[in-house]
Amino acid sequence: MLKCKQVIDLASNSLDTSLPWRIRWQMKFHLLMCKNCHRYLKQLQFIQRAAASINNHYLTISLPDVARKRISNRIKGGKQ
Amino acid sequence: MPPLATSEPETWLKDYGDMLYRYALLRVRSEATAEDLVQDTLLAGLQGFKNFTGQSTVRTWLVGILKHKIIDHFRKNRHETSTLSETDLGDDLLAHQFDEEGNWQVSLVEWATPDKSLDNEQFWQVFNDCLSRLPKNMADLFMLRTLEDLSSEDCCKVLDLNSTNQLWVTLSRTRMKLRQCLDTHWFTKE
Repeated sequence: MLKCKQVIDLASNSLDTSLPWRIRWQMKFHLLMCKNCHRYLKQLQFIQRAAASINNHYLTISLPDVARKRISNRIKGGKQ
Repeated sequence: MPPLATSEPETWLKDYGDMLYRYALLRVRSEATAEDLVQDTLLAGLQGFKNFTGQSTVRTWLVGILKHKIIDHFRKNRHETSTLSETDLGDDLLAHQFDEEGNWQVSLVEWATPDKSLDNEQFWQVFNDCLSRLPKNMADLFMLRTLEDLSSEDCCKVLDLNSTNQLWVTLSRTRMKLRQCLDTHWFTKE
């Protein structure tokens, strides 16, 4: 039987790689009975979705004018 | 090279400066580094423009250059960052969450309709704060893996990890800490 402490590592691992079917099956079985681990996996999956969509957010971030000027000067220097 | 080409970097800076800067800043979380990366990308673009085939848009091409610069940046900086301690890896949090048998000794609260948070600007502030609280190596790893979809082998190389097993454990602890932070500062916060 898998312990919850093992399942949270497997939950993370399942986001990165496909687990061997035997482990997957044991995990499924564990999740059916364990509300906490089930929630944990759902929450990691959400964090993954959120992180993957990060480019669509923080749209207010822009290159500060001073930085833009510095880069512009360097590019002109680089061309010579 | 056509005469027009040398004037391009100024145009790129004008058109894509914000986008490239944002892209870099979200990954490296340092304004100075992000600025350097944008500059290096434009200079590399200037040098490599003759190789630009026009098969992709200039925007996509520049982002491609920036991605390489970001990965190089992580690789170069790996020795400056020290190895992760037990506290970094969240051993204390783990001990708090689980008993000696490996069973939960806390109850997790369900996150109600979490995807609604994705449209909330304040959520992203918290998300960013939580990422910033992570040890730098862990945040870098999480970003490279999740945003750049860097292979496990390359992640190990870039961050100087000894084995893929170490990579999986580090990623698991990173997500555990991030989950805890979001739980405390967003989902269960009244």
